[in-house]
This record gives sequence, structure tokens and C-alpha cells, in this order.
Amino acid sequence: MNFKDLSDEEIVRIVREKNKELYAEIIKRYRLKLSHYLKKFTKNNDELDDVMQAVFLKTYQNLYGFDIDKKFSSWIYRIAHNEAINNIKKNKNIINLEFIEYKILDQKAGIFSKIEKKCIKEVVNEALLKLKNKYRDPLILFYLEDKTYEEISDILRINKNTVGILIMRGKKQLKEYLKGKI
Amino acid sequence: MKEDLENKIMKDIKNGRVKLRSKYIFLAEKLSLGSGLILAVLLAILFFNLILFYIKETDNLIYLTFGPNGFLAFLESFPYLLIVTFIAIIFFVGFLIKKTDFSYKKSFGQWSIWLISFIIIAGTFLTFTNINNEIHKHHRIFMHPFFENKPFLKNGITGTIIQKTDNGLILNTDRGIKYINIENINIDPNFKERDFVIAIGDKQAQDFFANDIKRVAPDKMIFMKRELEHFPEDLDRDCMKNCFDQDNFFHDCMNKCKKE
Repeated sequence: MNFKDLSDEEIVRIVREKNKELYAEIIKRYRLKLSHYLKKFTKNNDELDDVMQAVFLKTYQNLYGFDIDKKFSSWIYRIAHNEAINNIKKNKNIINLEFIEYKILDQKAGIFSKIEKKCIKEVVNEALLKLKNKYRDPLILFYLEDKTYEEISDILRINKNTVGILIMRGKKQLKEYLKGKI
Repeated sequence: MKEDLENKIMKDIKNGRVKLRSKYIFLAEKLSLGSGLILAVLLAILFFNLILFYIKETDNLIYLTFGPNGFLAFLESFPYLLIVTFIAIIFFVGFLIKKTDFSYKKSFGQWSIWLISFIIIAGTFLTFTNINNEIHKHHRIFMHPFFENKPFLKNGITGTIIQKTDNGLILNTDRGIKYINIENINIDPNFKERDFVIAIGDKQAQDFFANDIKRVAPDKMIFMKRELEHFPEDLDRDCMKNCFDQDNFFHDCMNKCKKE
């Protein structure tokens, strides 16, 4: 059987019931996506590796807690999100976007086009850190992780309508903060 | 580095250093959360029903029939302990709902409206069933802390007349045998023993000085009526009766007739 064609949920079912080694496929599928997401909340690669390892181990240990009728990606992102929060608590506030991500934020949300490119990182990091978690997390998941409202709702455990409101308010607050910096 | 991470995790899994948590743990968590939630909602319904029952079947609401003068006694006899317990249960229900997998699908406001509406409707419905009488008959001890503790009640009293004296009435109340001084008011001369009366006034030391008193039909306060059928267990009924008949002072009789 070619397990590459299997859905995440089917792989989880097989891992739980028959073949634990198939969990490697889950790691392969989510390694890049999660490292992309978790990088924003970690200082360096070593710390990122530690958080990633914790996420994959917790995911494995709690596989029976996953409801197979739901979306696995939202569930693993939720675990990753919780680990990211733990890491932020341990290491104070960290926001570590890549340059391309500032561009994406600029294009999609149109919030800081007037800022000079050379100081964009510094200013946006500061602005994102000023935002409350409840606004920052949906903004990052929506604009930088390409998650839908439904997925963000499942990851952050907030109502779908509230997701839209939080993104809108977060964007507004970010714009207002950046206005003062231009 | 990335390969290392995968290999390291898979090695731990294969070696058995990292294991799947048993499915029964998750099942037990879900079951205990579900049953806890159901139990808490049922308790909330029961307590809402008890609040209505209290207001309906005790002296609380009848104090208002004295007009503005009875308002203080109404407030003092309000079922605060029941209300505080009910609110605490509602908070607990909210806390349990937040712990469930489905709570975030609807906003907390929506949940609250649905839940409180359901509890109010079910609780009101329950008040009109026979459940409270059954609880009172068979599990009086459950109701006592909520119905008999009226720590604030100083301006009202309810009970059945045990004895009429020159200036007062000796009542069997839900808080024991009490003496009411009625020298400042004119009372219906037809008041007789075993009449069910309610009075407002002031409590001074051990006695109650009535400003107004009226007879009430016992079926207006089913709970009180049934409570007062129980003569205080620590007093000898015959001794009390004889003591009052011999025109002894009320407090002397109380001391004399206490069971050993």
C-alpha cells in the first residue's frame, strides 16, 4: 500500500492500531509546515528543534485523544500553538519573522507599505509584540500560515465569527501602531 | 538536522521510551467531563427549582402582604444561600463547558443564553411537580441548610401558636420555640392554638416585639406547615404545655423542658 496517498487521519488510525513506524510519515508531512510556524516564536534553530521535538512527541503520545472525524492538521497546529505559547512564556516575548513574511504581510494586509524596507523588521516585530496574543495569533495564522477561519477556529479554540473580528481588530491596531512610526 | 529530529523521535518510539497514552485514559476523561457536565446542569436545575419552591412555599413572599413594612422581612428571609449556591453551580457549568471540545463552536454568550434558558425552563417545570415534597418528606436533611438558615431574619417571624399569654404568643417556628410580644398591637381575639401566624416587628434579645400579625392559611406555605409539624426534638412537648399552663415565664419553660 502506498501510504503517501493516505490522508493524515487514515495514517493516524493505522499508527494507533497497527503500525507505529508510520508516524514517520506524519513527521515528514508536518516538519516543514510546523518549523515555518514555530520559527516565529523561537530565538534560534536549537530552540526551534527542541520545541519541534516536544510537539511531535506530545502529538504521538496523545494520538488516541485525536477525534479521527476531525482535521488532523488543525489538531497538530493546536499542539504546536500551545508549545509556542509555553516557549514564549519561558523566554519572554519573541517574534522572529523572515523577511519574505514581512513582504507577505505587506501585500496581503497592506499595513506598512510606507515603512522603509531596511527598518521594516525592527518596526513590525515591535508592533507585533505590542499586540495582544489574542490578536497576534489569528493574524499570523491567517496571513502567514494561510489558514482558513475554520482552521484558525479549531487551532485557537475560538468561535469562527470571533476569528474574523480578531483579525480585523488586530490589523487595525497594527496599522495604528505603525502609523505612529512612519 | 531535520533528519536527526525525525530519527530521534522514531528511535524513541521504536525503543518504547515514548508510548501512546492509553485510549482508556482519553475515554475516561471524556466520560468524566460529560457526566460532570450533566450532573452540574441537573444540580443547577434542582437549585433553581428550590429557589422558586422556597419563595412559593415559605414565609418569604407573604411578608410583602404587610406592605412596605414587610419589605425588610422579605429581604431578610430571601434565600441567599440557595442563590449563591445556584450561581456557583452555574459558574462551574460554564467552566466545564469551556473544557469541552465543542464549546468554541458557539460564542460563550450564545452558550450562556441557551444554558440559562434551559435551566430556568426545566427548573420552573420541576417546581410544579411533586419532587420538592418528596425531597422534603424523605431527605429533609438536604433542604435544611438552605431553608432553615435565615441568619438575617430579624424583622419577621412565622409559626403555629402553641400558647396564648396575656401579652404574647408562644410559637413553634422553623427556628425553634419563640415568644412574640404583642402588647403594642391589637390582635384578633379569635386567634387560637395551632393557628398559623406570620408577624413583622423587631427582635430584641430573645423576644420578638410584633408590629403587625396575621393568620395565614397553612396551604399558602406548605413547606413551613410541614416543618412545623415537627416539634423541636430537644424539648419535651408535655412539659412545655404544663409549664405554660402554670403561667411560668417563657424562658424558664424553655430551660426546664430541655431533654437531657
